[in-house]
Amino acid sequence: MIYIIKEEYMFRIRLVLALLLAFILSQATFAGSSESAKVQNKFKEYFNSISVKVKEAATPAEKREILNNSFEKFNKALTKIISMKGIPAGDIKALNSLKASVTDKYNELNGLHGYTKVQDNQLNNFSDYVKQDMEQADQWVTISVTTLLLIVILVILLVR
Amino acid sequence: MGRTGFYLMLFLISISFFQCRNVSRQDEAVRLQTDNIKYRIVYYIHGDGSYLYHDSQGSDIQADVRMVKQAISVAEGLPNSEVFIFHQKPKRHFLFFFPLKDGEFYFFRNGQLVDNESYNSNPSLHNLDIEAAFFRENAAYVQNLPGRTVRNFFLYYGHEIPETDGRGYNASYPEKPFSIDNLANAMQLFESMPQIGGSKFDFLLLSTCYNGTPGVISKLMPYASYIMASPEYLHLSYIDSDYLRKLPEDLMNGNLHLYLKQFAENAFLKLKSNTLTMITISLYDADKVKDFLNNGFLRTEIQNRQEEETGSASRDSVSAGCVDCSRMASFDLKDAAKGIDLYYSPPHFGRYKNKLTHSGWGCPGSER
Repeated sequence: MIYIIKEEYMFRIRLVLALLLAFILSQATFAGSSESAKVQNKFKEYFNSISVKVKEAATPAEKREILNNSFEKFNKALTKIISMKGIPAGDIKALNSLKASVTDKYNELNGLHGYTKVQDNQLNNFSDYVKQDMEQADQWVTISVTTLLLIVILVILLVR
Repeated sequence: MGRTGFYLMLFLISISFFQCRNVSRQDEAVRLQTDNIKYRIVYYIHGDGSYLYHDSQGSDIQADVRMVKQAISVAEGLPNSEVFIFHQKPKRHFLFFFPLKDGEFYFFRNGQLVDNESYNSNPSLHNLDIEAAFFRENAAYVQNLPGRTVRNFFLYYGHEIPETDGRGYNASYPEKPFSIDNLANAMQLFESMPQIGGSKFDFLLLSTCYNGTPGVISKLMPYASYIMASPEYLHLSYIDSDYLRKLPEDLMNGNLHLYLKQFAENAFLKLKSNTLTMITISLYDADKVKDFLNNGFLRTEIQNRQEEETGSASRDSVSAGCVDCSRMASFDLKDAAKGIDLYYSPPHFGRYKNKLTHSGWGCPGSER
């Protein structure tokens, strides 16, 4: 009986060790990949998840709320980072440009500052437009990895 | 199994063996045949950066990987052609210490795969030297005869190539620059190969953002008769190359322009069907845009704006974006339109959704 229990115990230990090794190997294979590309991908995934949520939302009011919340959270995080000490001047320029781009989208969604309000039946398309525009935004490339990580922490992790 | 069964099996095995041998010989003959070659197509697909995008269902797509698959599929369907595909991948390590090869090369002749190997592209980041060496090793010597000329195409897929400096272009090797000057040098290197014999590429495609600028076209026009590029944003679903499957048997001078217009239109319609952002594809005829590019006033104005946009020397090399050149004071719309075929669609939303025209040229500047 003791022998059987010991065997099973050893088997589990071996299984855990094998899984751990597999995990380390899978991670190790990709070690050294560009950090900036990984962080940029995080933003693309973030805007994609918003677009998916908008399409899943049942009513136009819910869709608008999702979009408005995401724009507000994003710009709040950017404002916070821009006011931090030690952020390189080049990053601040790119962050301001990003912020202006997101503000434009907020204004258009709500019909502010000369924009025609996005119609209810266009909200899914608008969320796709926002996603595509942010996916190709050149500003991501100019921002340093450290600053990008700060935005990830503030926007994606803390304010979710 | 009886004796009859044994002989039957032996018979079937030998038939299948001969069939395989026959197919293999046929393939080998096709791979070796070079006197029929009419097109040489070089794909350079940059993947060392953030190339993720999502389709309308929200599925992840890696732009570079998708394009490599398309290039292979195009190559497999092209008789009378040699297709060289280079895929530049991010730096990766096995077990943290052992670097993996970051380049992948495919070579097709007459629709058959002749070579596929991984390589280290790191030393070649400046001028694509290793890629040029692969080309030199594999491209067939085909004598151009009256009425039969080999057409050479170069297709570049990636992010915007900076006009100067180029540091940070390769995410894994930010210290190794890649700029338009490096691309121009690379094209010169390819053209110097005996197989091309010093003649220009017939067609250069820059499937990148913001490279349809007077500066970029000026630098590249000595190396290509026609250049296709976007002066604005270009979504990562790229300028599609699927239309290469429809390459005709022969492309004489007039037909080349017509074919490239159809290529651009096909790519434009594909982009239009799956993107809501601005689409601008310009096809520049290098000989015809010369006069416009030699406009001294415009060059000075662009230079000044560039300095204003990029600021101090410590500013990162990546461009601050482009705006339609028609905003420039010294820009002559009539001159600018000579030698350009433009495929333009405004964005569905945003401040430019009512901008119904575009000059086809991008100048340094930001949108706000």
